[in-house]
Amino acid sequence: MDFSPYRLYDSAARLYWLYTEWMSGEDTWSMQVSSLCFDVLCRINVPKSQLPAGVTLLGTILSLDKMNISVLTGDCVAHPLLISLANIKMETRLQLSSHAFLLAALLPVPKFVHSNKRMKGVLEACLIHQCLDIVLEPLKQAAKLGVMLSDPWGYSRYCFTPIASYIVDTPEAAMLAAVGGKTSPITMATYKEFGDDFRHEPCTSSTTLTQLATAALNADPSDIEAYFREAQKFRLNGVHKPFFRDVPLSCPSRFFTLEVLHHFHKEFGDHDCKWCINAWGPAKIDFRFSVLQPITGFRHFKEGISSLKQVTGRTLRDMQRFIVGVIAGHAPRDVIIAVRALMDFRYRIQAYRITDRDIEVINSVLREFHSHKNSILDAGLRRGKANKPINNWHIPKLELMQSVVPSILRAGVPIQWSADLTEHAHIEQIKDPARGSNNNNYNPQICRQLDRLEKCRNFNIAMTLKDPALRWDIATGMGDEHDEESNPHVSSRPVTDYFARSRQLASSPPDTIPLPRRAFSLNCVAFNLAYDPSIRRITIDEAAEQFGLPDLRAALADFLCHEKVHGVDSVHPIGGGPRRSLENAELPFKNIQIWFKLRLQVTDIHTNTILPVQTVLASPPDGNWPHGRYDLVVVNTNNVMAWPASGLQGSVSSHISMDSIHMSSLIRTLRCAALSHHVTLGPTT
Amino acid sequence: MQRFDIVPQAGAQRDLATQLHVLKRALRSGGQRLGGVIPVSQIRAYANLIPRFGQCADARLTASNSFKHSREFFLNKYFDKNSYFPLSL
Repeated sequence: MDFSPYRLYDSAARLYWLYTEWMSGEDTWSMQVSSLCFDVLCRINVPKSQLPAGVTLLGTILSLDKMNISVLTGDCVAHPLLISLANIKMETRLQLSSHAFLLAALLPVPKFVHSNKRMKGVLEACLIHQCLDIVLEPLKQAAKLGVMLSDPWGYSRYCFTPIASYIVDTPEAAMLAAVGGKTSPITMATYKEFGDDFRHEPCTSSTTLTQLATAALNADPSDIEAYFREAQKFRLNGVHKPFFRDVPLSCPSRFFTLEVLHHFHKEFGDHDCKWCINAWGPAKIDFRFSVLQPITGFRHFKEGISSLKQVTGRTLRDMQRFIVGVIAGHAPRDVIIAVRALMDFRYRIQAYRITDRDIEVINSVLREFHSHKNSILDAGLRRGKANKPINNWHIPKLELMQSVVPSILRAGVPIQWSADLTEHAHIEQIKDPARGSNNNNYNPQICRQLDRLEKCRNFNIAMTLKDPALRWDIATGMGDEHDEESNPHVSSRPVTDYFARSRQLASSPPDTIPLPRRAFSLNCVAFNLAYDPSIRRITIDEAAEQFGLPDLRAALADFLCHEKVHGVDSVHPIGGGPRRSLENAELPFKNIQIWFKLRLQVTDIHTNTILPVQTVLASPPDGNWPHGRYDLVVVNTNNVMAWPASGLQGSVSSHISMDSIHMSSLIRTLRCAALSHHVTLGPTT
Repeated sequence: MQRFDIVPQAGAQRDLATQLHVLKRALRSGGQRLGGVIPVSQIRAYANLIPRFGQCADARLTASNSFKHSREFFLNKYFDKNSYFPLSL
């Protein structure tokens, strides 16, 4: 948990700010830091502390989304309001198993009998705002006057609870911000201005409230139709008392944090992807997707992408991996640049740590998109119903992109507000309890089940705290293992930690483990091989034939020779000069063992958390794969350069240092023969 | 290991439109593929390549042979978010 705002810099010189958690943003800082400090650190213009000294800020995260309770049958809809805390560190909050989101209320979903469809929407919006008023009343009081709460160590803290983030989809955001359709909830932009390449004025809470007051002068708010007509003149949705009117320190233009799943992945699916399909034709793009070599652990689009139905966020992410490379070369260059710029934008804002320098890049790729976007309209790639070209940029999500950078500066990185979490919480908090019920009276049954589950969980935690023998449970986050097992479709498989395994092997005595070691690691990457090799014993000449490598023997001899001259820890070049050894060179061994699979594990470059394993294949030709199946790896061939910090830079032109790309082929699987430098060479007889 | 080298594009390291590196197989003067034996510990990360289809993709390509029969490839930095950052440097 973070209890106080802080500033991070990416170097001791404090040149660049670094944004991560909510507490590292400017909002919390300006809410809390006193005016005195601001003269020193002044970079933004904030009047002075708005809270008494010594208080603790607790950022509330809310989420609202309509969803179906029942599976397949019936149309039982729930409108859950979820609540969480922004002070919990991202690492914990983003873990699905940490149950960071709790159900605050199930809002009613009535059917209105009003004859005018438009008015039904207004009534619904009014109802939701009124419900939020009731449900959030304690929160509003705490935000106004503060409340005494105890922290995890048992100390009392004087807490204020402004709304840090409201995770919602675009239509709900508009409804909650009390603005009408086709209007941005965050800025003053209307639909005609959605394609602008700059950010419009923020739509603050005070602006909206003033407009509502003006409307109320001309029409009585209790006369909904008349009031709605008045409100419409300001592009508002006719809600007279929006819920945010009396929450201090909270304003719709700030707390609608941009959200990765709905705003960026869905934008890709709804627009970018369609442009590409329209530009190349479905057949061509599907063909290109279908001939990409499948990768272990990732989706292969055998049928292409144009005919996909019910595309999920995960599928969209998988499409994003390949689309830029696939579309290259065939379309107007400007279209490729526009699509690629948006892709860069999307990837960069998903980082767990964003510095001022990254923000410059993010701004520049967004500008790049806007300067090339018209090529898409010119080519008639933006099409609507019946394939008619649309000649405008009335896309709300494009306008929202302008607000991403301000939102990062204020409230930290967007990935922490991901709706993946809230969508998952819906399953955990609503769907599963509903499934356990007898399909009558959902609400009380859901509440009772959640209540009991939480009590069980708290009991478990208390037990593990008391009993040291069970303590590992908490450390590994396996405290509610039982819970996860009972919902197999919810739980995600834990990531195997090969770094830990290799450390464990490295510290075990050599006669207790199989040699050469099957797992070993460097700083940034861990390697793992199966216990049994894919080919236990094969002569070098047979292997050369099977893998189609006529110079295998000479390459092995070169390797041994290089090792003898430069030492066992030297860095080997790949085919640096002419082969020194002859094709029939003598080797100190005859047979080798071969592994077809190598598991690579790397750590996240920003957070150092361990990422899922990637399997790298190097298997010889067989029935399904007449040309063999080989994957690619980045190889370090210069020990001065370090991946990932140095990237591929200077690799070809300078000739000094290179991290170059090589086709991983058979030879690395011959590790047993030569590669594991701690083991004697010439293993099998 | 078979080696792939970066092909400079119009004086730059990357293709200008896609901002991806273009790679091709390193060949010896005799036309054989260039490669060598290295320790596993020199491997740093998985890399993904997409064949450079150009104007018109060859209709004879399939998922199993597209790799063998393509001459130039894009080094796909968008493949995962972790290698995106070092490959954009």
